[in-house]
Parts: sequence; structure tokens; C-alpha cells
Amino acid sequence: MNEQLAEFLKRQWPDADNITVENFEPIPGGYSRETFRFDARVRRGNNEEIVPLILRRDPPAAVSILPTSRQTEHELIEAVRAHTSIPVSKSYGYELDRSHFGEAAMIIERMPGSGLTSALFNGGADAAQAESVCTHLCELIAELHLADAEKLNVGGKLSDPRNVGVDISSWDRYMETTFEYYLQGYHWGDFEPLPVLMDAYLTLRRARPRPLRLSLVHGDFNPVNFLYGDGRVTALIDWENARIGDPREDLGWMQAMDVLSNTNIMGSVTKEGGFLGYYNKLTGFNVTQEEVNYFCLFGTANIAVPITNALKRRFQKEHMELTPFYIIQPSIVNVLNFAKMLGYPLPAGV
Amino acid sequence: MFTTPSPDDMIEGVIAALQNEILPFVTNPKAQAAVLISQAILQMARQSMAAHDAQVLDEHNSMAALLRDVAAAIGETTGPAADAIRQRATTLGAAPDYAPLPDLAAAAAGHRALSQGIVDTLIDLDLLQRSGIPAADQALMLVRTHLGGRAVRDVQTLVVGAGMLGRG
Repeated sequence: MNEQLAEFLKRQWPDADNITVENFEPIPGGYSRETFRFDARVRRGNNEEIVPLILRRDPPAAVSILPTSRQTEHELIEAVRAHTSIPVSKSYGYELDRSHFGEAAMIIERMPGSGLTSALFNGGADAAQAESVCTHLCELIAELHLADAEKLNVGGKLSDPRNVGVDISSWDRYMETTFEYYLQGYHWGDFEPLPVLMDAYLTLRRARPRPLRLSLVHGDFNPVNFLYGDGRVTALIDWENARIGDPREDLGWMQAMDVLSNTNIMGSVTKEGGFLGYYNKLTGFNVTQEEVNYFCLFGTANIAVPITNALKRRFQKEHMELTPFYIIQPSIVNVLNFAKMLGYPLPAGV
Repeated sequence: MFTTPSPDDMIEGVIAALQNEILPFVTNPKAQAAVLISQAILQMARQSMAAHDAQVLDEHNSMAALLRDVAAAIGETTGPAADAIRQRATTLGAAPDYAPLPDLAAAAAGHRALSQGIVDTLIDLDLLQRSGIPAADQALMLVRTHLGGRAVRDVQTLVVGAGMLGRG
């Protein structure tokens, strides 16, 4: 792999006299892309520098949970770097030819900062930074949602990145076509009749909130998709699920994952009465807690479609990877979360 | 409760992962042997699960009958040993038979069909609700009460530990 990486980098940096790759090792965790850290030792004349990098590679198609394009991700994060002040890893390019890295892949800058976000909460080592980091995170997501979506939606690829018929010509059309996708997607993933999931999709469709202008949404804005240091967010990471959508989707997904991850991102902001108040001050969107709750369910539904589809492929033995059996665990918890969000009568104490 | 994946599906998945995802990276011969032994034990668990409950019940009933039959076979034989056999037939041998297990595969198929019926009912109730039929709200609550209880029980039965491996 070191040679292939060096060869790729030489194409990106033709002015380099020599490039060698060192310290290549997988980064554990994550369920969609395979990630590896490595250093490139780059010599130009008498100067030599070490460039910290990450290889993000697609999993084999059969086991992929969320099929996305490395080219689209590359173009997006470069657009985010060009048109916003949001800290994002520089992307050094992508390779779609599977013969090079085994699967399609991209190489990005390895940003400084800690990814161990659990240390910010529950008395962790970095708990003193939690308020300032989460406040900065709120500012960054507000900036993303206020950014000119047309500039970030390079070539229109983020209008419907899953190619499932989502129409972003208006908020109403976006919601309607997304529900069509959810309901069709239910059948792609019904490895088992899943009545709570069906109830969630139908209820969401019946009880839509007020319209809001569509924005570029991160799509996986959750408590582990950022790095931090010295009380600031040093990078927003994992942009593969970004798309044009309702900005409240990111808030709802963060709320859902904050609970699931046992973190407290949204409760750690004190400015303007808290995360939502501060976000509203920055954006002027006047998002209500009820709307966040709605999009908590909506965002969970959005990820449920590809996940249940991936589970169905495994249980039908299209491949024999183990991970889907493990993903059943949070899926079961999410069914209960759906039930709570939908107001199911539940036993006392649940 | 999920009928898919079944406990057997899960164990089969671990056996396959040991073969495909673990064994190729194990270089220590003793560890390689431990992987193979683990696979064999898991396979034994699969085979045991398939037959265990039915065979335990069947053998329970057969042994009780056997003790009664042995007592009958010795007839009027006298002596402490014969007395002990007859005594055993009236205690252990008198254990009532357990009813044989129903066909669990058929029950799982029936469970699946009924769950699909609930999905279809939700779709019909949605149509009624969107038509403004108030009774549909009440009917939906009945379905939700049932499903809520199942969701809680699934978490209590199936979820191991807290949090997700590899996340932050």
C-alpha cells in the first residue's frame, strides 16, 4: 500500500523530488468508510517535510452500508474550504479506479486535534473545554446552514446524492419525495417486518412542520464527527452523507446521537439560553424544540433506510461480514427511541 | 422479538467471521488452533440448540417411562434392590410427561406473518387518519401500545452493554 500511496501523491505533487510513505496503520471505528492514517515524507530540493494524511477508502460494494462517492466528497470539502471558514481537512484528491487502492478512495489532510470526544463529558479529561468546544460547534453548523448552498453543491451532485428521486426544487417537494424514498426504502430493508419503522415514516409524513429554506446539511452531524483542541473545534469530519436538505435535520440528528453516545453536546452551550437558542440567534431560523424533535425522527429515518438495506443484504447472505449483526444492537435501541419520539404508551420507568 | 436474524444466524455469522476476518491475521499456531476450536464449539452450540429442548423433553418422558417399565419387568421379585426399583418407579418414574414442543419454525413464520399484518394495518390506519377518521387515532394507539411493549422487551433481551464500539 505504501508504494501505491506514494505513487498517487507524486501525481498530486509533481514538484516533489521524492515521496515516501511511513507509519501506515488502520484507524479503528467507523462503520461506512475504511480509514487509515499515514505520514508522507516529501522532499523538494533540500527541504523535507512530513505531511500527516488519511486514506479514506470505500468498503467492498457488497458490504457497503452507505454507498457514496469519494469524488463528490472531495469536491464538497474543497468547496467548504473555499467558501466558508469551517475547519475541514484539505482533500488531496481521489482515485475511483479500484485497481489502485483496492476500492475507490480519497486522501485527505490529517487535521490536528483530539477525536476522543467522550473526554469532553461525564467528568472526562477535557470536560473543562466542553462549553467552548460545543459553542464553537454550534457556530460552525450555523455557518454551514447559512452558507450559499449553490456554491457548495458542486455540479448539483448533492441535490440527490443517493440517486433516489429526491427533488429539491422546493421544501414541500423535498419533503414529499424524501418520504417517497423512505417508504420505498422500507421494502429494501425489510429483513423482518418492522412496524415501528413504518409507523415512523407514515407519522412523519402526516405531521410535517413549517417549511424552512433548504441548506447544505452535513448529514452526519454527531458527537464524534469533529476534532477539538484548546477549547475549539479543529475540524468537522466525515462529510460523506452531506446533501441539500432541511437544516433542522442536522440538529435533530445531533440530538438523537447525543443520547445514543452518552454525550452532552447540546446541553453544554450556555450562550443565548443553550445550543438551540444560540443557533437561532446566529441563523434567525427560530427553530423550536418540537421541530428538533421532529427532525430527530426524520434524521434517524434517513439513516435507517441504508442501514436496514445493508442488514437485509447480510441476512440474505449476499456476504458474510460480521458487522451487520453488531449494528442490530443500536438499531434495536433506535426502535425504542422511535417509540418514545412517537409517543407510544410505554411501561413506567422506560 | 426478531425472527431474523435468529440465534442460529448470529452464531453462524461469528463462525464465518472467525474464518474470514480473524483467522487470516492470526500467525501464532496456538492461537490458530484456538480459533479452530472456537469454531467447533460454536458449531456444537448450533447443533445443540436445534435439538436441545425437544430432546430434553423427549428423554425426560422416556426415562420416567423406563423406570416404570423396569419396575414392571422385575415383577414380584423380593429383596432390597427390587424394592428400591419399585420405589423409584413411584417417585421419579411418576413424573408427569411434558407436552412435546410445538413446531418453532412454523411459529416463527406465523410471527412474521402477523408482524407483516401489523405493518399493513398501519398503512391502512394512515389512510384513515389522512381522511380525518377520528377512530383511527384510537386504533393506532392500540397498535402502539403493543409495539411499545415489544420494543422495550427487545432492548432488555438483546442489547449488550452501552454505547457503540469505535465511536469517540
